[in-house]
Amino acid sequence: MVNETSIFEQAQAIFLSNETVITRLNRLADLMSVDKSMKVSFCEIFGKRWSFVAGSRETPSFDQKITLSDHYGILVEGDLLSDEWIDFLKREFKHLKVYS
Amino acid sequence: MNTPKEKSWMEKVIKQDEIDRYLINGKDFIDDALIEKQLNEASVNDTAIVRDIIQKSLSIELLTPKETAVLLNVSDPDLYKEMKLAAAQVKKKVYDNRIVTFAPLYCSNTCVNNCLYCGFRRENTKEKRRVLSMEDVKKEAEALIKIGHKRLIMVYGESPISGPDYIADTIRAVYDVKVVAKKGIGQIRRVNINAAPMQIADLKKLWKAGIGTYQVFQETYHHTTYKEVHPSGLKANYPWRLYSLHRALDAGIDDVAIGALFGLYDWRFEVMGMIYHAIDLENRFGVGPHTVSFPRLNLAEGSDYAANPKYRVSDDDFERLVVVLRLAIPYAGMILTARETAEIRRRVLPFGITQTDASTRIGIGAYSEKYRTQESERQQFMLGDTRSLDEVIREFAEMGLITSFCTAGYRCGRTGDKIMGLLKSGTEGKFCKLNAVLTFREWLDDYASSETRIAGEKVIREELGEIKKDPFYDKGLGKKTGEYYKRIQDGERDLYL
Repeated sequence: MVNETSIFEQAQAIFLSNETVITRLNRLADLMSVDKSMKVSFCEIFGKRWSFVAGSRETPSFDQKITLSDHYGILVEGDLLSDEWIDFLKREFKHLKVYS
Repeated sequence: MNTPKEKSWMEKVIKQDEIDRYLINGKDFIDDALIEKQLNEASVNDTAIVRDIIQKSLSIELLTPKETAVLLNVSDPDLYKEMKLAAAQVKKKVYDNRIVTFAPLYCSNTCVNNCLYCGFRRENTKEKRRVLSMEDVKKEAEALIKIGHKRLIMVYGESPISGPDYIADTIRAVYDVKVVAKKGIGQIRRVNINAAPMQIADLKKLWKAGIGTYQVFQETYHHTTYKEVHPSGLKANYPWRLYSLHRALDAGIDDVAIGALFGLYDWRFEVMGMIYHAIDLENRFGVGPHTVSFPRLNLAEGSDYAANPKYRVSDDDFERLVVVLRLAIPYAGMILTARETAEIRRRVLPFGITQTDASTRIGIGAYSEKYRTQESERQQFMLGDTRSLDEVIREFAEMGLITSFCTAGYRCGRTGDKIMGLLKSGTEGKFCKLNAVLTFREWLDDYASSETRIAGEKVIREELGEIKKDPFYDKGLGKKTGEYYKRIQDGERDLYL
């Protein structure tokens, strides 16, 4: 079982890294899926369009669709995202550079 | 002659560096001589080779140009029959039993180009020119929503008054329109765009407005013919057009669509050109064409060229090109439009068509102003099928096909290379089936005539029966579909998977 505090610290470190947006989001998606029956995809939002940016490529379906900022959203399949995760992501995505 | 204002605008549109960056050793990816050679040298009616190629298609792999040339050369009726059967199987595997419907919405017919085959061409003085205002665009969208359309392809002439900013505004205008339906609210959920090639900076404007698919047809891939039929205007620049979808992908638009206008040059050459186009997109971006289109040249006001095409494609050859394209680019959606007659549509539909239009009007303002079905001086060309959406859907249902109004994919990240992977694995088709049932339920409840409803209910029952039997849907998807279906029957709208 991954410790929740440590997982948020790891996620924070990913956001602070100098890697490209795609690399960071792919790493974040992997981290979020560890130890959970959950797969996530990050999308860029343009009007109605949610364009895939990073995360699970094999997951066509979603159980949660959450807008994280003006530019990004997350699709979650499997276990639902906890409120802590949603708050954390919304906070971090506010500062994330627009990918395209 | 272009006006000084047009000339000054035209000088700024083409950015040479946005062509040059894609060229290899200064050349584009269409080698006319090589294509002719491949067509001439491909084996003819070699059963073993053809069957191997068919197997590759059935594995949902893009064919090579050489393999495509082999299929184009098949003349043996039994082998061709096998190809037709395989084309139908490929379609079923990738997209299941559904056919998506859409409507074209022509926003402007002012144009700086002089394409010999087109009613919009600059020098056609018989054409009544018009650019829809945003209010007009909204009225057109409203008229289409009232009959149940959810997806549009919006079309524009190439002109300074219908440039990228105007196009982006029309996208937003359409998405804003809401019309009360029998149950819930009707809306256009996906706006695709057919517009002239643009710079990357301008394409980003469309991207930010929420474009669905960006569609640019090369018209003809044959360099010499291209030059002949596009004597002036921006469209005279072959590579600017050829790389328009490359620029779109670089701008972030990850669903792009290719096409050729069949009848300008040898149809087999054009099929090969489309394959090369798909390959170049896949190699550079990992994303092939989202859809392919293959319109045939139709009569157009003031165009002698369109009335007497040297390379007219017969109905038999048209069927053949549909079959070969289906096998050669097995993952792509295939669009058959109302340019074709109802009879031809019925004939080729089973061999891989995934999308078609209905209730089609292509005059500027034609939906809301309800003028005569067709008026040549307001249209780019003349249509072959002007049946209503209700009639077309009824016919599909009688053929056992389910009409889908699904626009789920691009609203939940199934775009670009992700959707390509899902299409190739057959997973997307499974979702197509579910979303087809949900959206068809909506449409039947909100817009269908009583006869169409009867035919549609039968199809829905059959589809629900298949979903129940398919183990793919066991892991909760079947149950979720059942819940959504019930909620839609109770009046909720726009539920998708």
